[in-house]
Amino acid sequence: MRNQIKDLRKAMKMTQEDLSKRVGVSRQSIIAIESGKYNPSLELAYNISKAFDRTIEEVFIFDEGGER
Amino acid sequence: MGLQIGGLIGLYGGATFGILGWWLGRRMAKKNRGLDELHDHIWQKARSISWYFTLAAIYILFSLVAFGIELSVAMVLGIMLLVHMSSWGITGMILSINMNRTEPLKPSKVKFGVAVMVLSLIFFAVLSIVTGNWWFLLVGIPPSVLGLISALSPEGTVEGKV
Repeated sequence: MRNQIKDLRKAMKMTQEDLSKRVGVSRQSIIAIESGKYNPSLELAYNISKAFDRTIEEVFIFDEGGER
Repeated sequence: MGLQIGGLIGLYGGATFGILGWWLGRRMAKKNRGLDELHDHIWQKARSISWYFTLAAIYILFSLVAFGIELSVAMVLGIMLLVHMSSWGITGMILSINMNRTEPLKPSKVKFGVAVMVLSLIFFAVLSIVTGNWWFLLVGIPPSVLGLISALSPEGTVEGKV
């Protein structure tokens, strides 16, 4: 699963800490999701997308391979 | 068999301090929103992996009995507890560090480091059982630490996926 979190975060001038506070998870979780090491649950993916005011499909792109 | 005061203190004292440390750790993690789904994922995975190490320890201990070595209940339970708890903790730590880094750990280095740790632990545990000298377990600590350092040491530059 690829994602656009880093680009969207930078476009919105948001730090990893800001995003983590907004969705209620640790900064470590944002680092792991952003780098593709961890695929979030549907609920967390929805909350992250909502923080960017986007749909899940716009933030997360399905890619064969799964977690790193 | 008489009452073993030292054993009881070690058993219940260790459990008390362990639970206290676990509770304090969770309290600190909660402040940084650390008790999230990634935390659950890491520690569930670590617990699952630690059962493989415990299974290996059970097979090795059974093999020793089959070879005619006499093992006491306390010795067997002590080794199983040590293998299970240490592999749970170390695996969780490796997974946590890996998730926290921008560059992933190199899987071959992690496998090598963990193999060195496990093999040295098993080798020195067996040596201490066979010789009846528990000091051999202490000799197993330096290679285990080296294995851990090797597993966690960063590789060169790795291109990020995103």
